[in-house]
Amino acid sequence: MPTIVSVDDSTVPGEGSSRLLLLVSSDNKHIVVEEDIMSRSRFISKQVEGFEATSQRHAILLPFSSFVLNKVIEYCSHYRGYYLLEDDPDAAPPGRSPVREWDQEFLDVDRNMLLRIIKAAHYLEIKSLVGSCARAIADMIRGKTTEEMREILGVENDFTPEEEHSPSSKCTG
Amino acid sequence: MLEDDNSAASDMLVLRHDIPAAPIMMLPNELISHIFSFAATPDTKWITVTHVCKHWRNIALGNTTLWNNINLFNLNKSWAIEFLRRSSPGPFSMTVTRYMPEAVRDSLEAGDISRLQGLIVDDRSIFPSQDDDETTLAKLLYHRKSAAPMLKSLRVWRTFPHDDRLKFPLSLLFPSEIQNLRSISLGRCALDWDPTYLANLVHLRVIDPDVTTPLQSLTGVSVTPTEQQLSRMLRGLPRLEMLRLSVLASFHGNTSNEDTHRDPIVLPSLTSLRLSPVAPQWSEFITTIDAPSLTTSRIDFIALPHTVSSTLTHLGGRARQPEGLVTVGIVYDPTAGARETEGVEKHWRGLKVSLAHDANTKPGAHLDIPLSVDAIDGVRAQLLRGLDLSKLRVLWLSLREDEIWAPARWRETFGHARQIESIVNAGPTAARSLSLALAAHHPDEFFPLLDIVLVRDVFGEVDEVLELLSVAIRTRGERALQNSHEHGRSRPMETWVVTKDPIRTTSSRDHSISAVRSVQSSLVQI
Repeated sequence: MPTIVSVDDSTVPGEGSSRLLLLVSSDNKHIVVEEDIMSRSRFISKQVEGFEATSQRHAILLPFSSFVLNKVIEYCSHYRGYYLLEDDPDAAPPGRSPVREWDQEFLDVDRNMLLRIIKAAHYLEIKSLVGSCARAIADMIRGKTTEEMREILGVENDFTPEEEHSPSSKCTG
Repeated sequence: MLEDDNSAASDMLVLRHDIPAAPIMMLPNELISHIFSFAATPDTKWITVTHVCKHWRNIALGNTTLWNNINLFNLNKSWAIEFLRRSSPGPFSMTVTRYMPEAVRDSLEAGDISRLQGLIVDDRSIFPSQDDDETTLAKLLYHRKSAAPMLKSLRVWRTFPHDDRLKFPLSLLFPSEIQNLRSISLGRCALDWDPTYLANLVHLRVIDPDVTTPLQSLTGVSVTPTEQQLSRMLRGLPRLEMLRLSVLASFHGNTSNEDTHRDPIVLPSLTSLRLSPVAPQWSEFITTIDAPSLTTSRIDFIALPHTVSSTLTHLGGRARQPEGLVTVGIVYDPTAGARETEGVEKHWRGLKVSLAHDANTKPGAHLDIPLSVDAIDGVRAQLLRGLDLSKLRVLWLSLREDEIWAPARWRETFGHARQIESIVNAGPTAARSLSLALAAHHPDEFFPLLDIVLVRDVFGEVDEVLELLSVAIRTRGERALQNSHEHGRSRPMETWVVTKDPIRTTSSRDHSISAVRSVQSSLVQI
């Protein structure tokens, strides 16, 4: 269930031909963005449909920081007007295509930021961005040993020594 | 009004504070599972993710799709059985080779075959050799008690050429499943070319790679359909979306009284068509195909130039053009198979026009014109004049060393292609010729959006060509002029990147390859 607050029309200029959205980040930053840019987000699209049904426009409060939100907006702005197969709800899921060149550079961020972006993209239901982030994280762990994976992603080993050497917890086949 | 949402609020609380030690643990399980699906490799190395921590292990074991690709080439018996168990109760696909462990067969017989969705086999797993009476898979399929009601996809590939082509015993092996099949891919073995029982088929590929070697293909009578067989088969596939036939067809003229091929073959769902190699007689056959949904086609011709032209016109007229896009590809490249092994001398007389809808990025198209000979030039000009290039974004262009296009010819050929952003794969001749054309025309009139020219194989004259091109580019776009490396060159090649703010750098090989990939990644191949 999204968190929404009422705003008056003067706050969100949405009556003209260029409709705008007011997004509020978890650090209470107000970010105005064109509706068209964020249409890649199924979550935002559903919110907008709700606005149209009730004839009321709201600010949309999002559970992540403005820093993360701005990154997502940057992504959506770059692909504004582009058709991406992953974001087509009617299309079959795409195969294992490589990460797009631009996405590689866009996601060349530190581990924590990458995790925040994928979480935000998941919340906003932007499948193409979720997919690119997932590929990037998978690239970080592919071919690594168990210990290296723990180190890269800061995961603690909670197997007991018995479990770790038990055939039932690991298929040794 | 503020609607309270505890989960969102608590999430924000977390995000407002320092990231905890294991931020990946904050991700929903489905996201971690999604990441695993990209980390999974065909072998078993990726399974180490299940050894990292209990949480990850539970997630991985809870996702049946991570275990549903059972490839007996890569998995030993124990892992194959374990994958079968972990993929349950979901569907799975299996790649079978000659040896199928008895334990796997037992597991399939015991009920797992009811979950089989896709099957990939090679000939040795189906067709017995002289030493065998019956292979393990054949035994299983012929004598099984359970059906495979979920089987949708079948791929059979005969690894080695044989003196004779065997017809794949589709209806014998899958008597109760055949109506459900959606995708069939056969290599070096034949279909019954009158498969009226395949009415639900969506994808069909029949490939005989030996057709490029005429002497071998002459022996392949059993895979060679007649024109009438082809007509009948295609008429029986109303749901077909993708068709690829790489076989020789027998065209003996109009010898049949039925004359069925003269009536249109309506394929209402067909979006992708690829035929190769196509003999001259195919051109008439192709013109009977009515595919109103066609978005992508590729035809490899062994034909006279007029055949290429007339067929292109037909397909171009039939093809759907969403939002004005041109979505037809024609290849005139009778030595395509020789290209990889015999070098540039054999990469000859190609005329390749590939205009495609780039489904993965933004709408667009590209045009690829490899080397040509004089006899083809007239056809090329004819083809280009017949095409709507107004939406063309990317032009691939190679010209022979002695084929210098005058500026007027450029203007005549591409003057209406005002959306071109990139010209790639240009050799030194094309680069020189293009630079002169760019210099001769005002940016408002000619290639107004040109942004990138990627030049290959520039050696001694690099300075002059790059200077000419860079000046021309800067008056139009602002991005870059790039000269790519070629693998395996004995002479070192320089890599140039020229931008609007003129910076010349000799960059690393990796940078160069990356630059090429950057351009190529924006393209789509048919």
